[in-house]
Amino acid sequence: MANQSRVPGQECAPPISTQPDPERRTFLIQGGTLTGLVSFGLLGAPSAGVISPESLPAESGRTGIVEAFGGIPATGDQVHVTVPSTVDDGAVVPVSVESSLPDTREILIVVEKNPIPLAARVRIPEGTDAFVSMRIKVAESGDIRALVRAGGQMYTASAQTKVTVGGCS
Amino acid sequence: MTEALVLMPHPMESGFRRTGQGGVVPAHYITEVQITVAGRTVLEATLSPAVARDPLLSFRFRGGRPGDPIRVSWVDSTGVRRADEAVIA
Repeated sequence: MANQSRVPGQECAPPISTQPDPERRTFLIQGGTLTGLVSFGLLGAPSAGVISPESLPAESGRTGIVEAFGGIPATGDQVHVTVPSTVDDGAVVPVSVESSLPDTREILIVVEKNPIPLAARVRIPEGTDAFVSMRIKVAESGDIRALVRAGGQMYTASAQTKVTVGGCS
Repeated sequence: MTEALVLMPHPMESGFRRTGQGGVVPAHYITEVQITVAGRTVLEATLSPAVARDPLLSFRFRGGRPGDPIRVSWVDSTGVRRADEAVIA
């Protein structure tokens, strides 16, 4: 739209031409082969010390968050973060995180240079794979970091992406 | 193993975006999502406005059977709640 400017680092999404309405949801669900029967029900561990994205200092960046959670560097085969090495539009950046660490309970996605670094916090119940994929906004080139809570410890790994036009958080 | 792809149409306004008039588009984004299959929680997430517009979540879980109802509920920063259901194919 003409009245919506696009200032890298300030704007967070491409101009919206039609107001989207949260009226419809689309599912694409593929049933696959079934292995075993896992029915532990709700979250195995209570989400102790839940930190909402807003409760983190806006400028905390990576250091603040990693300190807050105490991430131990994970090896590439323990935690794998996948992002495109370059993206044109920072408003829509696909990211996926997969953990092979036993007893993975949570995956957090942190965009180190975003005004609000913590993009999402995903709780993984028993029976769900330690994998999540989503699309995030990235203000500028830098590291996309995953924090993984597994076996009572927090681990961390990251991957770099280069953004042509930033889409701030 | 069941693979789920969930699309939640939502503006996910960060509150940082400006209009040409110098105003700020108010923040409006999904804050919490819960996904259950036949009553069992298979994923829960807290989202920030750094999740892209129309959040698309992909994940995998065990124990899902064709015909099981999968239910997605969310609440956004304005307090709006929404829940929808589909069936595992």
